[in-house]
Amino acid sequence: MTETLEIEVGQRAERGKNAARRLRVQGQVPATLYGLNKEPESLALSSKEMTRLLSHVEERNRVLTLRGGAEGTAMVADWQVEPVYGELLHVDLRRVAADVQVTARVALLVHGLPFGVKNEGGMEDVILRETLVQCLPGDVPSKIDIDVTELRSGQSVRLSDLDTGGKFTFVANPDTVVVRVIGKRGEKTTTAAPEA
Amino acid sequence: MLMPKKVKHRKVQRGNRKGKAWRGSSLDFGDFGLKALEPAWVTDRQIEAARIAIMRHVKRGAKLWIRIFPHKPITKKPPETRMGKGKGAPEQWVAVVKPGKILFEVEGVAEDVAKRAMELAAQKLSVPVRFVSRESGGLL
Repeated sequence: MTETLEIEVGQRAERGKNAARRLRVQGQVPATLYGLNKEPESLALSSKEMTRLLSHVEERNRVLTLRGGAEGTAMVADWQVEPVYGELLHVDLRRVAADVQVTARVALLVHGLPFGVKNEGGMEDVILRETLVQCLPGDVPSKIDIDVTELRSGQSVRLSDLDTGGKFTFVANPDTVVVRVIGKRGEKTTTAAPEA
Repeated sequence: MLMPKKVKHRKVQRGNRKGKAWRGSSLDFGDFGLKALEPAWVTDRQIEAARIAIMRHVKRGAKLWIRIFPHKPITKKPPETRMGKGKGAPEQWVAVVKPGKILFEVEGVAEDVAKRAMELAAQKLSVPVRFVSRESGGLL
C-alpha cells in the first residue's frame, strides 16, 4: 500500500498562460488543489520532483503531505503533458482525508509469458491496463500485479479473479476481462483463476 | 486502401496544420508506437505501405492499431490544363497529422522486433517520427 511523501509547495498569485509559462521557465509547474468542499487553491510545485514522482507508475497513488504554501494531505488527481516532448505542464491535486473514501486510478501490470503463447501458439491480448478502485486513501494500491504464466490458450483473467485483500473495491464490472490469450479460430474463451 | 465510405462534401479546402496533437498523443492500446514529430498529410497509400511493412516484419504475430484515418480528399487538375474551369477531381485521401500524434501501435511482440517494424514503417511515411514504448513513455 502507498506511503506518505512530503512535498514543498508555493502559493501562486498570478494566473493565465503567460504567468504559467514564466513559472515553467523557472523550473516549476502550476498546480491546483481542490476537494473536500473547500475553496480551490492555485499552487506551484517543483517540476523536477513531480516529473520524478509521476514517471513511475507505482508512485502515482502516493498520499502527499503538503508543506509551505498549503497544508494538508492530497493525491495527484490528474496531470497534463506536452504531446511531443513529454514535459509536465500542469498538475491537479485532490485533497484527501484519512476517513473519507476516494476513487483512484490503479495500474494493472501483467507479468510473465503465458503458457498458451509459449506452447500453444496463442497471442496475449491485454485489454485493461488501469482501473478505478474505491477505498480509503491509505489503502490505495500503488499497482496490481497479475501473473499470467499459467494462462492457456483461450483463457482469460477478469477483475473478479484479482486479489483485493478486502481493502478496496473495483468500480468497474467484476466480469471485465483484463488479459486473455487468444487461441486458434473457433476456440472458446474461458475464465481461469490464476494467482494475482 | 483506407478511405471514407461516404462523405458530405466531395472536395474540401486545404485547412491548416497549426498546433500540436493534444488528443491521440499517448499509447492507449499497445505497448509500442510511432509518434509524429512534425505536421504532415499522410496519404492512404503511405498508411497501407506502413501497415504492410509492420505486419510482414512481425510475421502476423502482433496486434496492430492504426490510429489515423485519411478523412480528407485531395484534388488535382489533369496535366497541361489551363487555370480556371473549376476545382480538379479528387485524387487521393490524406490524414491530417499534427506533432505528437501516435500513428501506429503494436502489442504482442518483443521491443526489438517492434522497434525494427516501426523503423521499416517510418521509411514509408512522409513525416519524421519517433519510436515510443510504455516503458520509456515517461509521464504518459
